[in-house]
Amino acid sequence: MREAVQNSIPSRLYKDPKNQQINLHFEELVNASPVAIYTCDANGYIAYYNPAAVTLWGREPKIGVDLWCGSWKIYYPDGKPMPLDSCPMARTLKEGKAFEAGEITIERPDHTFRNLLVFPKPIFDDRNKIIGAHNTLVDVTDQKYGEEKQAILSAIVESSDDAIISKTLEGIITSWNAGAEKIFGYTEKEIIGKHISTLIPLSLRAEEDVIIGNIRSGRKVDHFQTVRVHKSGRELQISLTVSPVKDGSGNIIGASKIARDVSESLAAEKKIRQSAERLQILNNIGKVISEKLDVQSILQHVTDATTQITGAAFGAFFYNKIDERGESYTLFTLSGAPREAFEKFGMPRNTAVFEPTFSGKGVMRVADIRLDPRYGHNKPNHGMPEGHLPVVSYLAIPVISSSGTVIGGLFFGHPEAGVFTEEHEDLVSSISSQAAIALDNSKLFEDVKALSAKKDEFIALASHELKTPLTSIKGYLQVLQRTERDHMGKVFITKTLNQVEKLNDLVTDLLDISRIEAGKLALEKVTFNLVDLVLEVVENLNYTHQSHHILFDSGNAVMIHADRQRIEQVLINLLTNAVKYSPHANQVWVNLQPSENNVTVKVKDQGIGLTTEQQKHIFTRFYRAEGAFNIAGLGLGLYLTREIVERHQGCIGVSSEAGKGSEFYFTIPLN
Amino acid sequence: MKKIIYVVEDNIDISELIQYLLSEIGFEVFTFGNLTDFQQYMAINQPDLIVMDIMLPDGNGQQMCQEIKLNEVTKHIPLLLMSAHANGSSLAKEGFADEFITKPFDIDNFTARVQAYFS
Repeated sequence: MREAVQNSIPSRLYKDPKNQQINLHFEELVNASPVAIYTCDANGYIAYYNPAAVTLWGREPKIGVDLWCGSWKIYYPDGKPMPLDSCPMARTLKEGKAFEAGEITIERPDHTFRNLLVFPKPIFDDRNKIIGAHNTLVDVTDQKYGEEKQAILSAIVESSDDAIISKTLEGIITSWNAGAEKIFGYTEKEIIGKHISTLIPLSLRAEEDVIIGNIRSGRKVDHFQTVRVHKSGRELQISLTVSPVKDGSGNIIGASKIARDVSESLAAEKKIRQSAERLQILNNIGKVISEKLDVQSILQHVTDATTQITGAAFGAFFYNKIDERGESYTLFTLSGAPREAFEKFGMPRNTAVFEPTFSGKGVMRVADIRLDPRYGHNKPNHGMPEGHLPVVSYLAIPVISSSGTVIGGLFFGHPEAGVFTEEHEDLVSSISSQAAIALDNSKLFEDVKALSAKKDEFIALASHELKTPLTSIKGYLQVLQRTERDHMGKVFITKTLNQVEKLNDLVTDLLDISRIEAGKLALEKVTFNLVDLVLEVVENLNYTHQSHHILFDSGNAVMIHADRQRIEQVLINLLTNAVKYSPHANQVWVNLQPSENNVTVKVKDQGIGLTTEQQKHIFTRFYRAEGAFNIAGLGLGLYLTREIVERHQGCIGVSSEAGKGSEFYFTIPLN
Repeated sequence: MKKIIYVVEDNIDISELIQYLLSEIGFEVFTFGNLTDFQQYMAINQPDLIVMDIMLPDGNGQQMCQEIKLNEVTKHIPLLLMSAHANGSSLAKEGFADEFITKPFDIDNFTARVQAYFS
């Protein structure tokens, strides 16, 4: 390098011996300079360069070979490639003039870029002829980057929707962006230099001390939800982030503050929450009123839900009901007010205010009922009577049944004006139509219940009335049976008595069924020996049904707690069925199997049996096995039998094969 | 001296049947078609046993039974309540009756149960 420099120093400088000492000093100065310096000869070939130039270029040029500049590639500041022979250094030689602070970007062989300011200057000899140029390259990459960053940051701050403010530790505002102006209403000019408390509501001034306290100790305040004041005095919901600002040596000199107006998002959140709540109420009310069948409870649920949804201070549901005698009366439920608040006024009368609702003319929604033309025309009160709940906002919705008759009305009140909206009206209307359906259903249900009760009452009366003549018939026939001497006469009387007995059983079964349906089959439980009962029944049946022999192998006593008469009924039923449905056999078996917790009674026959399909339905009411038409019965016996067994927490079943016979069994718990 | 039985039953056929059955086995039977007549006789002369229907034209046999059984003077008289009513047996129990007879009844069973009080 030293050689290269010596060789390249223009010889003119060496020729003057006076300057030789000075030249040496210059040479050292140039070589040691951190600024890139190089020279070209008159033809543009690089003649000399210092070490700083090599560092800047990232390469070492070839003396006498590289033209104009030692850079690998050159670009205009906007990034377009710059032809080497039009770079400022080339133009200096070509045009013979100096360029100052020309801006270029160079690329180095390792593909890194540097921004340079170039200072090429032509060198003239004594005859003013260009003999070369010297070039100084200043690397401004870092400054340029800093400037850009600054510009970007400013643009971000200015274009942000958030308020970005800086303040001193004393709370004096020092910067104010467009977002701050938009949120708080003050212009930059108005606010700079003012104290930050201008933006803080009086009640929250203490907050600033806490924030500043945090900042002084270097802590950030993050997403702090609070309230600030707009220039107009309106309060704003704000989310605040405050960070300390430090100088170059790390001292905290102030705070930057980013404030976001969250009023809208809070309002939106509230709205979403409200919608969710409403949806839940709607959902719930739909479910509740479709499940409920009693009017009072439907009315109360609807009143509570609609009062809540509308935000009414009080709500009432008036419902017109017709009683059995066809007289109309009104039921009502309330929400948000005690019953006494209404009771002293009686039912709403057909006044100008109530008339549209009770005549089904549609919804009536009034922001201030006292200003409504329909208000205050009726005697004696001309408006709300003394002591009435303070109604200003008024909403009334008729409840119309599917048949189109008005069955009631929903009324809401609020002491402030303009509380009820169209949305409320829609919501309540939709609930009111659901309520109408539920009330219709409830009315149907009540009708059915009343009819069913009448039916039960009738069957009980009929059974009593049928049994009274049966008592005489049976009694006198028995007297005749005793006195009849003629053999055939005796046989006929016995046959007649058997039929009387059957008739009596049918009447009893019918009554039992109606009591089961009404849930009135009461059990009179006593503790008794089941073996004794079976023996008794078998003995009686063996006497009355001489066509078959019922076999029972009695074992040890089995004590159960049950209704003796009903269990007897079950046994008689199963045994007479076994006899009845095995016309071609002559034996029936009864078997009793006690286990730890229960006892199973089995009745087996060799009769006509049941198909799988028949077995499925055999215990249902009025079911009769097909192919058994010649055998009398109503199809009630096994249904009753199952009901009795199940009332005893027992179970009943059958296993059977068509043509081979059946085995019916039931199990009763022991305790 | 024959034992006296009062029968309170509004159905004439049943009343005659019972009178026949009980007279046949040696009782003196008085029949009443309603409670008013029965009460008049009760005030004058008390029987050895009473057979009473529950549903009577001028009142309820169960209530009458209760009155008789709660009265110190009459509570010793055996009282058989009788009904075609389905809940008869529990009604009889609530009325403190000594026996309950389901209508229709078996005549042998009926006479045996009455006689049991005099054996």
